[in-house]
Amino acid sequence: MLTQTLSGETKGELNAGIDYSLMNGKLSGTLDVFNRKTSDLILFAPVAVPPNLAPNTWLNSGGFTTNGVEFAINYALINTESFSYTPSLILTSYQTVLDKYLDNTPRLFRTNLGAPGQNLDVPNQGLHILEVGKPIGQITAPIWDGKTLDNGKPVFSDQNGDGKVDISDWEVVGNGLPTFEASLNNAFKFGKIDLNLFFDAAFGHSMVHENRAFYEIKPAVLAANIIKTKYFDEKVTTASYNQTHVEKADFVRLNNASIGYMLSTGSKKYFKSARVYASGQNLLTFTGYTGVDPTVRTGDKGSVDSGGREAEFADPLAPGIDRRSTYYTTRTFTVGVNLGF
Amino acid sequence: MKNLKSLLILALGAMSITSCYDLTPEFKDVATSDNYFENDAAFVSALGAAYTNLYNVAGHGGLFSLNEVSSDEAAIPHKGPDWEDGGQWLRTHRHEFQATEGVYGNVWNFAYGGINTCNRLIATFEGVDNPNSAAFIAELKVLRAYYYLHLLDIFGNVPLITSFDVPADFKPATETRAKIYEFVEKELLTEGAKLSKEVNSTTYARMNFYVAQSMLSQLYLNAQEYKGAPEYDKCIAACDAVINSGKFSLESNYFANFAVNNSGSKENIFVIPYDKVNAGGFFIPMMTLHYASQETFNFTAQPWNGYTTLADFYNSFENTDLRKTGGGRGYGVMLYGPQYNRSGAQLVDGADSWYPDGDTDGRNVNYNPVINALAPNAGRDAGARLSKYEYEVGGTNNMSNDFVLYRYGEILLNKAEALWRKNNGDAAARDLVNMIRKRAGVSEFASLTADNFLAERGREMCFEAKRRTDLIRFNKWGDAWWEKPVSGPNKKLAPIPASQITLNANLKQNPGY
Repeated sequence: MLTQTLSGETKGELNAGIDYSLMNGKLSGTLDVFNRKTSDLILFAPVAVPPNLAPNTWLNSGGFTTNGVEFAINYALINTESFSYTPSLILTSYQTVLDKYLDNTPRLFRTNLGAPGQNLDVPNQGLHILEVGKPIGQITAPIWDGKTLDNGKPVFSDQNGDGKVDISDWEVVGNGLPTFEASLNNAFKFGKIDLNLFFDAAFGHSMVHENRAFYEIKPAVLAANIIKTKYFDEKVTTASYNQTHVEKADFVRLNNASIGYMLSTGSKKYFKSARVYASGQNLLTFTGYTGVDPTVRTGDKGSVDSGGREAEFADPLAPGIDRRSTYYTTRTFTVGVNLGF
Repeated sequence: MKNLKSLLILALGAMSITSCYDLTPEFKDVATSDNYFENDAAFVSALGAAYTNLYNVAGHGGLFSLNEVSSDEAAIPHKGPDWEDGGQWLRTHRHEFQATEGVYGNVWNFAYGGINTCNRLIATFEGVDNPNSAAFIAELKVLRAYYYLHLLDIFGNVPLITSFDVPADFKPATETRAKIYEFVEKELLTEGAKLSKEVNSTTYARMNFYVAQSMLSQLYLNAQEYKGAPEYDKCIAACDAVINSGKFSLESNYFANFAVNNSGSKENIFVIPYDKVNAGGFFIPMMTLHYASQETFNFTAQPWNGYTTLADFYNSFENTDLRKTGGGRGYGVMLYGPQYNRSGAQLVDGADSWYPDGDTDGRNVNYNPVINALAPNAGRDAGARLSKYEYEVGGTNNMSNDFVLYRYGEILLNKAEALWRKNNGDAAARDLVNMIRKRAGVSEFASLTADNFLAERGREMCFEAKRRTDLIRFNKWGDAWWEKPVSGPNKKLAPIPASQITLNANLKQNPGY
């Protein structure tokens, strides 16, 4: 009988932080630095058959280290009776590096595009490459010059010059996780009018635009519409995943804006205060990304095709994949009245 | 209030006292190997795990795909956006086999998954104090030999593991193909002889004496390849054990063997009892048909437009061959020509704007047996499709037809071939082949040649996952056909999966990989 002993994962965490307040409290904020080391990851590892009954088993192996910094600043820039403006900014940056995967597995591919199968040969190729000593989130792809075609099929470049085009020519073409993220809240007050603008932003991350990889070609699968972004080239007739489907997805977004007006209440018989307001969510996005949503995908729930379903848990080792199952984000407007009694 | 508090404390105290008792329950109804195997039904239910492993055979990416796509009777053309799959099926068809290819790992894990399960159950049954256990152990050993027969046929040199109780770090070493042959033969002879000679609903889809003999006939017919020496007399004897039993016969209607409800076939000797609800995994209509063919058969799922047959194979049939026409069934072993929905309108490809050269009828779905190219832009409706097994109208993605692994027709051909290989002019060999031809409604052969024999076997046995072995035996495996170039003799053996060699240093890769 074969037995494996399985234990829990181990996590060690070191945090250092400063809370500061300057200029009589006009300027305040926090600075946090953290280091987190996770080891004994529970991984579903391939094992030899025979003697094992099944080709995979759960075992403790692998680990990664995350280093990060978070800086928050809150500044009462203007604060008078008739007008006030308080901006607050949060900046975050972190990186996770793979320390170890399985024994004898210094690198491996992870995740695939889904059906119908293109030029990815699962399990020997994938959208991500995990490498010991390298950051999590390395998106990999074959390199196409954007021009050379063979019967409508992109011809990839022999990057390493060994005379043949194969998996060894694939390169890391981006990272699914951002270099840093920011959010900025602006609170204004002009007498009885209050205005709030909330921006969020992420920089440095790339995204596999899966819809383009499948449908930005002349012969779309079944009656699906062809996707035509600025990258569309009608000479391409065979879907073939390559680096042109991996886009920079930096964005700045006006995530939320609200404006309110405090009504003067003549009588306090029925209510003490009244405020009418209008607010909107997801109002403006500034990005060069051609997909529906440049938001960072921190994990991947896999492809939904051939009757398959999304995985219950997102795979954190495969960030930055914009799946075909992504639905349009909604823009929401709200109008209302706040009554105080 | 104060009283209530003391009451609570008292109650909590009482609870902590009761929790001192050992609460480990003693179940009276737990099945263990000591009390479970009291009757045959219990053994049969335990046996199930070793058989359900067979449901991996006829899906996509396993044994069926390996044996068919590498042969001259099937391919998966790369149709523009569909079915490139990293080129693995193109390489499989062109015999550019690579050890890293997923299909070899799948077949390896299928076979050893079955073997390990048999070993596990044999170990369990051996510990049971019941006189009937011996018969079930024999059955498991024959089933284990069946899995080894596939390993012998496909990989040749593989580890031989016959025990379940091995240390966790045990790394079995590669044994020679001759040693595996010897083991399979010994098991089939000694254990097969212990099996039931009953052929009824109890032994259906299970190992019995005749299945063991069928396996022996395959083993001996291929002995020249497997161990380097022919065993034609032994092959004939194994075939005769089946033929002379009187338990099987040729169905007058060839397609009765492949019908949705084919469990009554007098011809089928060993099958995988697929069921669309309870035993899924048989996906042929999904794997082969064009998306739009969903409307021809009212399937609840849309097919994937993958597998086709080759023009040369299509052309090997005479137009009157019932296996091509389908007789009363309406379609034969291949689906070809214009396709219609159930109200008679021609099916239309939903794709927008792209048709490869040679597709003269535009968007209409017309399975033209001539495929313009294997890759990259094979026509989406090019190639005749695999329709040997009856498609259930209104069916799901899973089929309920039982997949045939051995049938009487094959045994007749095995015997004919052994006789013919002993003596090219043997009239008995020709007559056996002519039994098959008569049923197909085609004229009888005056004599047998290697070419007409292989072609007849192809027409009769197509899409039963045997073609790879047949081509090797007839020395046609390395030949060029359609888009497949000449391939070297080392390609007769598949590569040992690279993933296994990484995990077990005692495995030896086959030559040339």
